[in-house]
Amino acid sequence: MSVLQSLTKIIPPPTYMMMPSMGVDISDTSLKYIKFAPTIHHGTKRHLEQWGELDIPDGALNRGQVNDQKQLMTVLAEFKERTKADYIRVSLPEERAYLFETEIKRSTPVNEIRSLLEFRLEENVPIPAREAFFDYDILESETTDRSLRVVVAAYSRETILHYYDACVLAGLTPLSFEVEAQAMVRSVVPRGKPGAHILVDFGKTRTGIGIVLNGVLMYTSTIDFGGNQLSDILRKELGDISEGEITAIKNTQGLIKGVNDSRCYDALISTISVIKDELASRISYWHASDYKPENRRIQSLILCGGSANLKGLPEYLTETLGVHTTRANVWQNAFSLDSVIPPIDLRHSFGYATAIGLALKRTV
Amino acid sequence: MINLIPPAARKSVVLEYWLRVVSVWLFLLGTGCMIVAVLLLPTYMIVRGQIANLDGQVATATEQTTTFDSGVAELTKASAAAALLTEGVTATPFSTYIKLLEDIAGDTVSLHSIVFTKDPIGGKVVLSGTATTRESLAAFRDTLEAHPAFMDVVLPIDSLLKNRDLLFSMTVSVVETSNPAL
Repeated sequence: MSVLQSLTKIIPPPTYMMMPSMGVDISDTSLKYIKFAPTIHHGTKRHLEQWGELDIPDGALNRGQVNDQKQLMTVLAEFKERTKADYIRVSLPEERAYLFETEIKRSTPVNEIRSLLEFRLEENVPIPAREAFFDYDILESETTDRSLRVVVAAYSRETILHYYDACVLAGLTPLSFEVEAQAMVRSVVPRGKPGAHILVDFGKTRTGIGIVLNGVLMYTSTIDFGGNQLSDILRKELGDISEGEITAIKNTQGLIKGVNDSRCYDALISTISVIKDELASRISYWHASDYKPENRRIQSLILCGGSANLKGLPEYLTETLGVHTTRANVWQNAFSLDSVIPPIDLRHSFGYATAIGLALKRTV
Repeated sequence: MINLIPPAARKSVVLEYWLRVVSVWLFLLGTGCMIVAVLLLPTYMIVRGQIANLDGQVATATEQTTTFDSGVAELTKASAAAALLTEGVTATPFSTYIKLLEDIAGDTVSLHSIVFTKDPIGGKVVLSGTATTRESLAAFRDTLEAHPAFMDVVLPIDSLLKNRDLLFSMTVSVVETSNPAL
């Protein structure tokens, strides 16, 4: 712990200076938000101050692209009205993100790194550099005496401005925009845990895949397949039953083959295997990396997202992929479950992983 | 940490953050100054009281010094006067000089006033009067100059402008002798 960190613990900076903000996870169908009360007991005794979810009308966003800015602005305005928030940290859709890693000379002056990366952007991203907003992170663990390993995240200017303008029009001040999976890393990967891990955000309409190396997001991908498709398949198999019942079946039977009735298992397994195959191909691609592959073996698979409650899913993925799979503990970097009982139950907490990760961010 | 907010917005956020940092530090500095001021207030009051006290003492001392100085001046004067009186016992009386001057003046020169100033080595006499003729005034002057009891007779030249009834004023230094009549 550095001297500054120790000093900050003894004399914490005032809340006013820390610019308290709310984590806002915007997906195609919903807006989830989380806010922790300012505290000096980071990581042990945070108190959840505000949380909730707002529905986003169909068609307002499609695969992360803002189709109707006015509708998004209306939802954000409702969010502001409900929470009285001023500063927010927003997640950006993985579908629109471009991530690549590159190497630069260690002697490159800091103020020239951005210009250098602009040239690399042209080589790695299918949008012109002038049409893109990008930022980078230095991989400290991969840095050598002669070179710096850098991860660059880029979005088209249009995508970011759509989100930014909607926030501003709603009277909100965004402090940061982050790739959804990067925010998720902050909540579901234990702080300081080394190695490569794969995050699977099993959502309603799509499944996000992120690969994180030593706390830094290195790769993202999306599969257009989510919990809603599983519900549709079950409905076809079991008849027209309510969404509540479908959810209950998924969470209680799921991928566990029943002794008397295996219809649910049979219906889901073929679909889930598609996701498994997609994950396997991503893992293979990652393991085929030509840069220090021995350090980049996937150590674990972490499941989160609203549809991660599917019974038997972690066991199925562990068995079929050969990677230890667990459901995420989304609170582990916020507080200890030994000292705080979260007001959101476990089943719903998976859906808040991104919002929690955003709310945990403290730097400007 | 990657932050993909538009660069212009990022600048304004960073600016606001630093404004907050600076304002917090200024507030802390102000609070610190206030605490120091409050802590130093009793000391200030004590020092101020002591300064006022010392100022009063200085004023009293200055007043006493002035009184002492004037006392010293008076004493010096009195001492000088006493010294004159002590010397005066052996000195020639003024009347002897007056008589001598009137004798020398004779009938042609009439003395209106004789102002005698005594000093340790003798004295100075300022004479004024009327002479009937220029010759008689010149003779009076010459006689004074020649007399051993007087020296440095100063008669302004404008006193000799007229031929008759000359108004004059002259200064004569007196030489202390044991017997000026001789």
